[in-house]
Amino acid sequence: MSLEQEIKKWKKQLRSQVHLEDGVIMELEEHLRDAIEHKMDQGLSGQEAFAQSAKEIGNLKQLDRQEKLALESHRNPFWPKSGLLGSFLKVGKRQFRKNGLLNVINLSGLTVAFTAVFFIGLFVYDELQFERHHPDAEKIYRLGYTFTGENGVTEQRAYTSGMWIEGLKDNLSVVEDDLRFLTLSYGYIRDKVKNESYYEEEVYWAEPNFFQFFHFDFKHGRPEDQLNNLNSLILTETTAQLHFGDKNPIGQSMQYIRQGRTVNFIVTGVIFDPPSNTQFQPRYVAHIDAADGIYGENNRGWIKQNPNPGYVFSFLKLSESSGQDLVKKQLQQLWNTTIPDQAGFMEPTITKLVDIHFNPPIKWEQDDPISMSYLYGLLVIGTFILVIAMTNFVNLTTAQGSKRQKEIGLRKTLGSTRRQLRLQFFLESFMLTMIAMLISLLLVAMLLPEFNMLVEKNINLQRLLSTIPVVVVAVLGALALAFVSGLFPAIHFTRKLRHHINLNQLLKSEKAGAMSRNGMVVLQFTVAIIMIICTITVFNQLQLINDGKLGASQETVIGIRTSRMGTPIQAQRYINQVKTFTQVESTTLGMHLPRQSDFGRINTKYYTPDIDNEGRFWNKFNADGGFVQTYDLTMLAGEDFRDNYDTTSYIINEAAARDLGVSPQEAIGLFIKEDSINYVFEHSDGVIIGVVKDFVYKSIKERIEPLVIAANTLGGGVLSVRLGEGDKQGTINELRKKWSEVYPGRPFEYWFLNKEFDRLYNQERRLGKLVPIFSGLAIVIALLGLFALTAYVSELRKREIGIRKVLGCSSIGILKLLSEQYLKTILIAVIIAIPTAWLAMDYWLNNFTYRTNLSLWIILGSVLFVLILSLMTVGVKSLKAAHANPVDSLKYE
Amino acid sequence: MLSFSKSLIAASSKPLILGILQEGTSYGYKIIQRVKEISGGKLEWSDGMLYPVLHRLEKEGLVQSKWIRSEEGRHRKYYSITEEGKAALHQEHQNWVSINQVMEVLWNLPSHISNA
Repeated sequence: MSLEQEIKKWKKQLRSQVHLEDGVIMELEEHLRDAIEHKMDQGLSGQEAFAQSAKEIGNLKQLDRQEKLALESHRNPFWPKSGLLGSFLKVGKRQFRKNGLLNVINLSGLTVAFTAVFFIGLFVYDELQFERHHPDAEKIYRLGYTFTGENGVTEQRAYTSGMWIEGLKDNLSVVEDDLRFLTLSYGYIRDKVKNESYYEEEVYWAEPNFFQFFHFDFKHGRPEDQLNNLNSLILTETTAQLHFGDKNPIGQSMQYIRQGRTVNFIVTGVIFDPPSNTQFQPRYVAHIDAADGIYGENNRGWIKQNPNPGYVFSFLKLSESSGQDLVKKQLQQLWNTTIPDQAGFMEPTITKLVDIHFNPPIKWEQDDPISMSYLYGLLVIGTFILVIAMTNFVNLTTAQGSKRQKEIGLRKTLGSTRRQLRLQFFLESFMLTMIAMLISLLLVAMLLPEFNMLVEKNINLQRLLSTIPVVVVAVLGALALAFVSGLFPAIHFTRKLRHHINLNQLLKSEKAGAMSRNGMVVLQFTVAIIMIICTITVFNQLQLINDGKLGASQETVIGIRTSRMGTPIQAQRYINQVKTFTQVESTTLGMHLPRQSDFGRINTKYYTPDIDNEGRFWNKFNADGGFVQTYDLTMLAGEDFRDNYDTTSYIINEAAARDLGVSPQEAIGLFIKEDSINYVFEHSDGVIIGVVKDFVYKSIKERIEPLVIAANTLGGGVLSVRLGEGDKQGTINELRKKWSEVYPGRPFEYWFLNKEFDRLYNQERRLGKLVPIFSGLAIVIALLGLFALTAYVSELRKREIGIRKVLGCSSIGILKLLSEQYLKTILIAVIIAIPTAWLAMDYWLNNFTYRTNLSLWIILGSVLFVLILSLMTVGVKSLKAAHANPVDSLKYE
Repeated sequence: MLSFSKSLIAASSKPLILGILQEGTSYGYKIIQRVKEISGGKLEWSDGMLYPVLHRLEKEGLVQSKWIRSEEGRHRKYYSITEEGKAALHQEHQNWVSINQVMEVLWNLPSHISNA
């Protein structure tokens, strides 16, 4: 026997006797060869050298035992043998590469879905956390009252009188702390350094405990050092930047001016801009007593002594919620003595701070509440997206099942247990899901600034990540998702193991697999169609709101605030100048539109003695004669005001004519008498000279109510200007220049009318931006899934198609064969989706007085859209399969 | 020839191998040769026993290995000491010196000598 043969024999023996790893055997063989070489160099024969060397290596059994001990001391008992795990990973990696397209689609679908869901989660979480960051947020309550007017309408109001909370803390032990602050209109901040004035309503005139009662993060200064003096002023990061740039503004002086009275301030602190999820969004904070000076010397102490409700917000901290009744009782008693004539119409209200954001909106509140149903809606969309993506994932993963049957069989034959197989498939899916999760987290971090801009929030990822419960929930959620997505394929693959005894059963189970896959496609497309229908409806409704605002062309109307900026003579001088601008089409001086709450005077009845003796509660709007033209209203009958101050004439809207029971033409010439119990502005009677088509002057969520328009500028402090075509910004700059000539040192404040209307539908507008994006994503993911599935099935049926073609089937026939199945599936989805979407949208539209139509065309269009897209998707792959040369698919066998 | 107890060989194998690898990267057969060389043949292992020890040290992260193909086409697994290995060797060194010192005291007692 040659030396080489000896060595081979030794190796064989080694393999048969012990279970060493290949690497170790190779290492030992090398050792043996080294030893033999060495010994032969010393003069021994090959045979002798081999015998000695082999002997020196020693007892193989013992070696084996030692090796095992060496390895086992470092093995995790909960983890499969390292070799096995490595093999799982290796197979997983190969599998990923083998089905490249499928897996890329799978991975990107999951990633997109997770990203969308993360964003939805962030949005909803941010909303739900409204006001939660204040200390003792659960114990804080807002005082308010309801007022029932003569017309029997009860409305809730968020403000109080500054006097109401006086003494509550002393008399009731349940009241731990109290706070009040007020905001004022018509004042402006004067920046002495820049010599500029800024109209400002968001100055909070607050009691000194403001920064202890509510939480704000300070950039400069400490919360306990604020509002200790009457001249203390706190800026936000934004306003500090505006006035002082990057330098620390502490110690700088500023002024607040209102109707000729001035308050001087020294900046004592700067807070970071408040998070988006609080109703308290001051731009400046000052001492409440400093506001006293604004009302003049004769009115000192008025803010805290006036029992009539004014624009003071009152908050209480109650040690237990049962204290609410005590507070209400105390208030009622106070009213009975101080404002007995009003007390009968008033009812105290106490609202929990953390509930305010989700309650229906009430008058004069700081918050812009959101309906919980919107949040639920978003969560439903998020769930839909997850469902579509997860079914995609399970679908695509299990679709590979039949291809992998061979692998499963092989592995089983070689001794894999069911558990090991299950673990393998589980790990593959788990890893893929985790990868998708990580990529989407990166995407979220990258896209967050854009998202914040889109939904007008300032979600801070850093702050979120330092909130432990959020992180725990997110990690658990991610793991749970990954777990579920791993579990399905694992069970699916291994459940079959038992049954595949013969071909018949194999085919049967394949059929069942295809059935359940089709079921999932039905689910996906149902969801996709529902989402398209909903998106179009939501979009239409928002469009309706948008168009309905005030005629179609209000993008070119700007409002300029003139109220309390100067004398009426100055205003007239400015208006006359503005009218000479060639770029200005028309102007009107009047009240602010849209009206968010009260319109005209409360409790004013209008009598039309020509018709009956009944008094009707109507809204009233004062404006000069340019109103109809500037707001582009349509006259239905009669004519416009003859001149700017046509004080004996009225124009009414269609709704008012309806209220009178007359046609617009019949209304012309009717006499109107205004009944004023508590009139402040004017008292005038007149004749109806015109009727305008109904236009939206309040939120479209409310019905358009009867309206009287009077050619009178009393109480009107907004100059509306309709700009012509051309350089709008240039015209505005000219208007500003003229302004500073007429009103030196007074702020020029203007806004576009459509922006002002947008504010009424903030929540709808924000959601209106989100919904199309998310439903678009859902549809894309569903189509991706369909594409991949078709690709896969046509791959699977390659040979079948080849044989069919050889036997004479045409390309069209093949195409039909492949797409027919999906067409059926999608049709089932259509049948389920239509009624569901209809019901959901009908329910949502009930929120609105003026609602868009749920037309059949939208539904048919959506269905057609999905059908065409999916047929195209299926078609691309099927066509390729149909056109393939059958030789290619058949020859390899 | 002196014969060492199994447990003593086992205990000394770790510092011995680490010590040899501290001199430079080496492979199995060469390490055995080096053991024989420095012990002057006093320390006789069965060659095979070296490998489980090497593999255990590798698992513990004290040494690392690499397959290298030589010019004659032979594959050899080379071992080298890691930073942790160096620290462990230092610790072993201290231990052995301490034990030796303790023993020294015993060996120097006169009664023992006279008894022997």
